[in-house]
Amino acid sequence: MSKPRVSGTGAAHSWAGQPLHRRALMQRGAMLGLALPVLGALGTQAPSPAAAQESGSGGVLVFDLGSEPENLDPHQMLAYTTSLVVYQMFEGLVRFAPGTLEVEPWLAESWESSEDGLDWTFILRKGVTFHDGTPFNADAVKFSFDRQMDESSPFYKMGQWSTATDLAIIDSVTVDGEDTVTFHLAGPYSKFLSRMTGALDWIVSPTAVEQYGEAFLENPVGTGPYQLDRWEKGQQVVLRRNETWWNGTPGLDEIYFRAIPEEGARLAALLSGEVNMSLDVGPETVDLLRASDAHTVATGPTGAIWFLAMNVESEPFKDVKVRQAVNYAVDKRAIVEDVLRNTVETAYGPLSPGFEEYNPKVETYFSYDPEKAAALLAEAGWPADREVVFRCSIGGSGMLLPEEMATVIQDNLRAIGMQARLEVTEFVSWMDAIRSDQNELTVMSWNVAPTEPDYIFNGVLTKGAFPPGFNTSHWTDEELEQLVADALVTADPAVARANYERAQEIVMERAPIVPVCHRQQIYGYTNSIKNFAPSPSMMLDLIDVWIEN
Amino acid sequence: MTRYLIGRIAQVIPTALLVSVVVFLMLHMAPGDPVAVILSAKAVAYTEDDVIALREQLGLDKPLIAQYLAWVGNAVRGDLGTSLYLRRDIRPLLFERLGATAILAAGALLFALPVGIIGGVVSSLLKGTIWDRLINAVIVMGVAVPVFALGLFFIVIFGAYLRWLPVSGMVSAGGGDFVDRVKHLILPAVALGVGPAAILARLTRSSMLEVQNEDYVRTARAKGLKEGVVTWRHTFRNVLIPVTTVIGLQVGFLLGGAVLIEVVFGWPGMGSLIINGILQRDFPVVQAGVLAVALCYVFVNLAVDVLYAVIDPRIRYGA
Repeated sequence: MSKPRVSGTGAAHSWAGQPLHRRALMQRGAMLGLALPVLGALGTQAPSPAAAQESGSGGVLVFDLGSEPENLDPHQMLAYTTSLVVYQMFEGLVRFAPGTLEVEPWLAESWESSEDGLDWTFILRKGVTFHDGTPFNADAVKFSFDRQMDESSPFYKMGQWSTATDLAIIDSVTVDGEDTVTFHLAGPYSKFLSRMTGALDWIVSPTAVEQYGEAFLENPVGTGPYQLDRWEKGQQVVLRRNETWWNGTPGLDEIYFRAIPEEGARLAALLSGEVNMSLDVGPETVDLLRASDAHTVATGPTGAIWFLAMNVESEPFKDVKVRQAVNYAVDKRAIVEDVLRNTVETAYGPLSPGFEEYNPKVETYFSYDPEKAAALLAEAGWPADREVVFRCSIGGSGMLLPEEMATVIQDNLRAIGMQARLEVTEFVSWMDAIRSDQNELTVMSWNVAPTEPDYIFNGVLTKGAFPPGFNTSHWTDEELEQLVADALVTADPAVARANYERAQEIVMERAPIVPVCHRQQIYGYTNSIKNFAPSPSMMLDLIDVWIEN
Repeated sequence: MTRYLIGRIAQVIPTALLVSVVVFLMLHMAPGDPVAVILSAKAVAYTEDDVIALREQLGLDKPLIAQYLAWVGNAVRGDLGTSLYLRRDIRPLLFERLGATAILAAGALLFALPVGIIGGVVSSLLKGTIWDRLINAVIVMGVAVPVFALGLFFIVIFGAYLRWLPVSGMVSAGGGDFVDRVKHLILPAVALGVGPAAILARLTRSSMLEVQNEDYVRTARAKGLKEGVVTWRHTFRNVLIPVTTVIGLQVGFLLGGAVLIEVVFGWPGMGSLIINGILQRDFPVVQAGVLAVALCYVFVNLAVDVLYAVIDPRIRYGA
């Protein structure tokens, strides 16, 4: 949610300023790997070995999330920061191999799919147990999906959110033996395996769910490398090493997830050693940490995009020349370097370079060129007395520093002869306003993992996302809709990739948005932490991390 | 005395009701539809049907007056509802958080009372000297500096630079014993207590100076009593009455100021609960939280009024 200025970062990852929901990241977002096995092929691989450059183990990680988890159930959690905690305790049948966006076997040893791509059979790993001693098997897998999909299950929807529609691609799950489970899909789906890495596909202990009921929200039991020790509400979530983990000994003895909301306090806590790792510290903090000998700042990609949305149905932005003019007018360098102090990447198109489908051709469309912009505006016959309403929200950390950034843009527009009246409002009022047909120009932020281009296109750039969705440009293009729809069901990864590459070009040609920057994952930590690297999938890999005394 | 007390306590009921109406209206008339917030948190396009269904589920489709009565009716029976975001019963949540805020406020008071009163007395005794002026300068600063700025200042100096004290939360990772808890309390409590200490000092000083000119003080001096006896027995005792009033009001300030200090220091009290509730449009939590804080204020004032009657015979008999 949006935070007041005094509290600084807060819910660090958010879409449109909201806490990033599991659907945006875990299920819909963190999905696509390049190494999609061809349908019908058989996948068998050992899980990647611990890629330890420096050997060692042990230590206590004190990790500042910025905001406290709302619950710890992978099928009910909301915030991205929460998913980082829950990810330590739960596992799926497959996962992204560390440091890559490649899907590898995890709780499943292998899988095969039917010719038509509709039935996927997984052979499960043997000898795996949940933290409570319950054996992991095909029944547990079916249970984890049925509690979300099957209304007749006694454990159906035990929380606030129904996740059934998010799992709609799965028609049913059948148990074909102790260690064999088959997923029957509702239709062909090219990204099925990468989707299976998502949080809704993490396996929960059936015994624990039966025992705790809705209190499973606070008593999570999975198979992961770390398990819940205790949750001191308002203080910290404490995890300890799972001593009987199936894949070796996890590096850390204990992990304390804390939540310091205030930016100044976050920095002080890191400098004084009260915490040894912080997620998404602000631009000023990054400068200070970079200057410190005892600290490291590591950045990783996201699929997030911060952009200007121009309502193509509103009078001012009907003409593509005007939209191109705005694209030439915005000085992204000033925003990225001066306002955000190089904590973000400059954006040239809808997808960030973190996506494997990123098309570098987008960089050739627009550069900062106020003269060209002014000429285009004149060509479009822009009336000198026309004023555009430019909407901006005061907060939401996914929004970065919206007011400062919008002020730069307002200035840029004035320089080419476009008067923009900046309307800065509180987050919720802003959200109502931008989804009205009357909206003309607004800042936008859309936050997903760089794994699934679909969630950018179908999130903010297609007809299906027209308000009340978040296509606040009200823009639709037949060719793009077709490309994106085909990419989702094609059996050929090369076709999917080509479609997404062309889709990026179309967006820049028709210019319904001005891509401004891509947020990065930013971790600040003390140098005693070894073997840590931000993950391309935006998850927090702590299996091989350890801390030097 | 009894009649005074009964009358005074009876006043609490209409006050509490008025508070509940204001809290309720404030939230329900603020911009931002909780239904839209909740639905959009799910990051999927939602339909008008979803909106209607959720509104019904939350009881937001009923007329405002019906919603108010239902809420107050449940609250009186101790049912404060369920948090929309945390999915938890609000009552235990509230008590957890109220406890943390009470500790913080008590810590602040523990700092403010001796510092404020002693500072005021000393300054009155040294009236006109350089020390008096110095104390006054500190007082003016204490009143003027915003509490969150002071908190941040403390964090930078004592946390990041000197590394004497922890800057966030109530306990350390792996800690939690008494000493650890006290260490965590010091910075936020002092930051919160500086304002009230300054106000107390100023009031104590002016009251002392005023009382020093009263006839009975002059009489005491004329009788040849030692200056110390005059100060403490004749002057200071009479200063206690206005000071008690201000302490009562300051407790209210502490509860309000705690909202900011809690956010700055990550203190898991009512303040951070309410702030997060507002940001998440978690109406039931905000309503319950604000109501609880307001009621605390009402009851502290009641306690102060009762205390007057004990301290000051004029009030006791006047009623």
